[in-house]
Amino acid sequence: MTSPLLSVHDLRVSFFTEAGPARAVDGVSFTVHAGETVALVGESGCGKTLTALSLLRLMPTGARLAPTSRVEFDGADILTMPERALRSLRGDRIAMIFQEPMTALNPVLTVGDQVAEVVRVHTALSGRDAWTRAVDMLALVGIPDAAARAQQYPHELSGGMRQRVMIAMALILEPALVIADEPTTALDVTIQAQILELLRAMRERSGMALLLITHDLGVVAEMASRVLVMYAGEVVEESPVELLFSAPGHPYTEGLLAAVPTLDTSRERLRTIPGTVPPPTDWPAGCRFRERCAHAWDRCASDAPPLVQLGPAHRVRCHLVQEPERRRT
Amino acid sequence: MSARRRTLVPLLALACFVVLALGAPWLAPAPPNAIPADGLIQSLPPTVEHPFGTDPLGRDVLSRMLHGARVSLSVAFLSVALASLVGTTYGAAAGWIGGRVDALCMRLLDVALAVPRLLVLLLMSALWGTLPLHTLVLLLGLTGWYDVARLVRSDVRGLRERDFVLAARATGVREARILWRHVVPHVWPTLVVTATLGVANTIALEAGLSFLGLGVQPPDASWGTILRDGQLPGGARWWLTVFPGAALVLAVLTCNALGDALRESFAPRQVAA
Repeated sequence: MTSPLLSVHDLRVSFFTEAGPARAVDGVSFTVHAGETVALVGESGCGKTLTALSLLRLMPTGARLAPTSRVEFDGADILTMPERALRSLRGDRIAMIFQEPMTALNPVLTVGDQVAEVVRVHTALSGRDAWTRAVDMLALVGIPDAAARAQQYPHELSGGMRQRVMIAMALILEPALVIADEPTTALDVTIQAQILELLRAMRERSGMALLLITHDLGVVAEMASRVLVMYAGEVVEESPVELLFSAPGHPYTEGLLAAVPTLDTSRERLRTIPGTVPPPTDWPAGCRFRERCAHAWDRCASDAPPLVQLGPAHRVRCHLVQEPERRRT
Repeated sequence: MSARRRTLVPLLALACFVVLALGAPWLAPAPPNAIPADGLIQSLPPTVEHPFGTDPLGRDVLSRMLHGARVSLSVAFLSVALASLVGTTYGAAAGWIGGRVDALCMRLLDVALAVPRLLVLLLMSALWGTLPLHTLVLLLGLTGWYDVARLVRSDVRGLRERDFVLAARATGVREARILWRHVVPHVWPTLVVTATLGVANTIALEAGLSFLGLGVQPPDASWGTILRDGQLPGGARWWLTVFPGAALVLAVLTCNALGDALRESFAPRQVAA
């Protein structure tokens, strides 16, 4: 197997808060190969976005990285490389699509300006050539009348159009890796489908790897080949996408799957996972999910479960793997 | 009054002042410093020939006021422009860098603000003897940027946490470029309002200094120097007080009204953005 494009090893990001240290991302490891689409799934507050930001070393001020953490992209460690080298990676080789295009686009600059800026920052193209390229890119992501639209401000565009602009910004230099943080969450359902279709088309075209952060398992099923499920700052399950849906290994994954409404459950109450993600200052000892888990027993409170290899690409962080007889039905 | 008109009326009034000042050489009935050749070197009340009267040297007050407007307004505009530039740079840099640098910058500003501006100006002009006009502009500018710096800094503190800053960083834009291209344009509303109010403030301040004999120097006219020429007990030469005084009040009021109107008209847009 070729070496991965991105390899994250023991990523730990913490903050000092009044309530004590918050270990928001706590020992996350995974890889993304060139051209692959990996989904990072979990509820709000479990560390998905912070993980994504750390991959570009864009953590908020006050965030502390553990010295053992490594994020290797194409052989270079992003967490220790000089600022200058990092800047030349950002936007060029690794790009990010943000959740909320309304706030991630600058309201005082035209959208064309913002797309062209990426080109101007990373290439020697003149302002006019960069602009032309931006307009071409806007047309490519399906913005009608792109030349005129490029001169408009974000507030003059619809939500779907704005997200297309974000995608144009991210993909204009054909990065090897695109990190998309909830790219469809802020959009209407019909627009969501269009944006996913666009991302798929762009992926076909450029062969980029995609790290898709989402809480929407529908999006996962449509886009990803491999899935990482995060809970309370940790990866609790890593699985090929078919296996995740057919044979989830972790009770949390099961809960997430059960919470997806389907046509046959429409008459019942929607299923939820009881409780919420605990605050990162106060992860429970042992298994972090045990307070919400239907199967938990004493071992779950005393031993933190390791990530256990179940199949070739299937890993699960749960004691049930070793003691399946404990499963309650 | 509608919001539009609240802005438009003072804007037109300010435009009138600017037109009168710029047009002074053509509009003024006499050269501002011309002492009459026929020997009538005395201060006379308004007549048809001298609608605002003459000053103690027999010079036409209307002409001196029109030329004085050039001085008063250009000193105010230029020094406020300088103050805005310095204040924006200082405030934006402090707010952007944050942390200890920011704290230090703000404490320094507190120290500067603790010293009354008029005192500094009086001291400087005393040290200088007579102030050339460009030095006056420089002094007013360099003592007038503290408020701008504080306001810009607090705007920038809020702006640097916005998503579009993160997004710009994620595309590899340099910090300095993010600050100037992505953040500072958002400060414009604050800057325009503060500058307009600053102009009002500076017009009054310059008039005060000139009235005290420390600002614009004779024979040059400014509204403050004309007022100074009218100092006599009992208001005997009222025309030397009333006319430049009215001009001063009107100009200051206009700028203040404009500043307030602009602030109101910017407010909803800041929320929307």
